[in-house]
Amino acid sequence: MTRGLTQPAPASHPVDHRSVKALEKEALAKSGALYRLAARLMGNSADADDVVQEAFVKAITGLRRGAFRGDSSLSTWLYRVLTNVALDRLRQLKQQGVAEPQPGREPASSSNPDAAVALRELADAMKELPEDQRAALVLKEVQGLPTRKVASILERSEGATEQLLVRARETLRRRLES
Amino acid sequence: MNLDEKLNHWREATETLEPSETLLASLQATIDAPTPPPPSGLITLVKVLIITAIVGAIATGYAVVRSLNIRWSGSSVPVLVATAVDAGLPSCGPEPAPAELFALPGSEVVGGSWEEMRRKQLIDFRAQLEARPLTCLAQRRPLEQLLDMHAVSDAEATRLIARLGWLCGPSALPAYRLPQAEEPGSCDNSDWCRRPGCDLSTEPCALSWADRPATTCTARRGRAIALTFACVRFLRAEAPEAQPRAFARNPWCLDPAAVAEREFLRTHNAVKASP
Repeated sequence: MTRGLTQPAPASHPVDHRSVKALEKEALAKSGALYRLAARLMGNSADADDVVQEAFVKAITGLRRGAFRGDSSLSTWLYRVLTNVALDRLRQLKQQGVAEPQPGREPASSSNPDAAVALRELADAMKELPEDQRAALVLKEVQGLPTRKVASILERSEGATEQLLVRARETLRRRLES
Repeated sequence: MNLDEKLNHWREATETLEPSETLLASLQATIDAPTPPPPSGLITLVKVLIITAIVGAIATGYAVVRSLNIRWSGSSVPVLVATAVDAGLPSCGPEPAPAELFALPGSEVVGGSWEEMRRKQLIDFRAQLEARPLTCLAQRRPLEQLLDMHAVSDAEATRLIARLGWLCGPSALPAYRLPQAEEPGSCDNSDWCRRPGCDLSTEPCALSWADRPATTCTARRGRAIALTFACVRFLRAEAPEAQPRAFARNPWCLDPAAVAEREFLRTHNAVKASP
């Protein structure tokens, strides 16, 4: 599934290869932020690696085909591609019944025992969220993006995005309090 | 600690995460991959029709041969489906002719069983690979041809590819979803079984990393592995330890012995015996 990649530019407006190269370079420079988003969405570094790799291939392919038209910033567009790849992957894992993260370095840990426990509880609670609520919450509350940008990444209206966030927080609160 | 505080902790705990060197190298390789020439619509259509016709003819011929239980005494069936993925891969340039390096012995096994021929070819091929890493297009083809013969068990294919040290996770080139498995009952493990999908006779199909669990069963998976992980750049033999993180998590790699030789032969023989 390649949601997030808009239609290629029409043949009458061929892609400027110099600018494509510049965009590719910029995309690579954002690999750290992309990786952090992937790790936060997937919950473990191994799946994050997979997601980043796949998203990057899709993004570079899209850039070369003129799929990025500049309607949003490059980082928003990259976040969108990566989020869609992550959501697909989460749904697949759920279908396969893979509930626990694969063995590997867990991305979130803390030397503070209370914080460590809190993180573990939060990670467990996050797994119960539907994928779209999880994505919205991570993008807004952890990645720190404004709601407008989150809505653009998830390709929803701001109102619908707010709803996702409200439901996600309610679910998490209920789970953490139980 | 309330929810916001926990979320804050999470943000702080993950703020210092950085991608590994292996992942960065893979991303750089994706950028460095040459751009295939943009095809015009008509050329694309003609290419698709030609490839479809060739694939159809080969599939039909292969099915006939298998049904007649003909023993191979010569070279393997060329994997023409791989030709479309050749775009973008470097040519072999001034390197020695691959046929000399990767000749698949077959004539001396006339009269032997499929199994004997496979073992000998695999041993020979592996020995050649040990000495020389795959670095270009034509060298990759023998691997695909070998796998395409259904002569390699999943465990062997997995070890072979791991030995090559292919860096890729998802491929930067279009890979191919294989036709629906013709081996009914060969998918004992539902995770490995082919799920209904693309019709190769009407379109080139993509076998993406995300579709990995849905690849076909038994021996065809060997070919699927080869095509899925087709790289524009291959790791050199001097860095075999740089295994792709994603590939290392491939369930076939984690436990290559999971696909027992016996299981492969059981289904393979069942297919050969079926009308």
